[in-house]
Amino acid sequence: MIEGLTRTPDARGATRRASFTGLLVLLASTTMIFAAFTSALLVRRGGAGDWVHTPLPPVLLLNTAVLLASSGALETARRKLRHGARVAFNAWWTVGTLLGLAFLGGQALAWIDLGSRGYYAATNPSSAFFYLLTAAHAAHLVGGICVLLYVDVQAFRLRLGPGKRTAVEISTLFWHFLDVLWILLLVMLYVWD
Amino acid sequence: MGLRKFLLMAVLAAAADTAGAQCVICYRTAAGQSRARAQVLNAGILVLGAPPVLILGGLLALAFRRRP
Repeated sequence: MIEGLTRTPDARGATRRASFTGLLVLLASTTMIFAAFTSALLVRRGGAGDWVHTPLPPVLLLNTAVLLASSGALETARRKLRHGARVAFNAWWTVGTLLGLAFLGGQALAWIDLGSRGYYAATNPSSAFFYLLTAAHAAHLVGGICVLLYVDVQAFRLRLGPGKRTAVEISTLFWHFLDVLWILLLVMLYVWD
Repeated sequence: MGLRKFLLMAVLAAAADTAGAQCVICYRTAAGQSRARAQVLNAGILVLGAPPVLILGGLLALAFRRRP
């Protein structure tokens, strides 16, 4: 892309539309990955008689609350930026990012808890699916955290131009998507596992 | 895509006997299972098949709505 073009309003609008299209493609591919895992879990669970329930670590519920709070903080930050409250944006965005990191830490605790009780990925199909689903979700979260940190650094360096505001909106939407995805996974693990 | 390329691809696709044979193997394996397992397999296929249909439907709707 020619550098100068990005400065005109039309080119900026086109870049913004392209970013949202990219987000839609990312959401579609992520949805497919987890649909494939869900389908595999359903067939494996019902297809053989050796399914053993894996007791889920209690910390998962706390982690869910942390992730929901993280999503709420990022949404508040996005709205603050829309109203021009940059200082409030920085604070809320940082809180949201830290809560996202706390969720990842909590997931690591859940793995340690499960491991200490003797449930590893190779213990039984149920525990294998637990590790697979949480790891796949965490991998997506790590990608999201990188973008959140990037926006945070740009905000503190006072470089939050219109282009970066698209990054704010896209990363917030992606984070909400991961939030909803985690709740679906949790319900699936509690109900079907 | 040129007409020749399209015809060549169509002929190659139609001649894929080995691929067709996999369908029969899979179908017979599924059909030979108990009713409960067949239902589980059907549910798995639905979970796997529904998102692409919905996603492609959504993309098509979006494309038609935003066409110039």
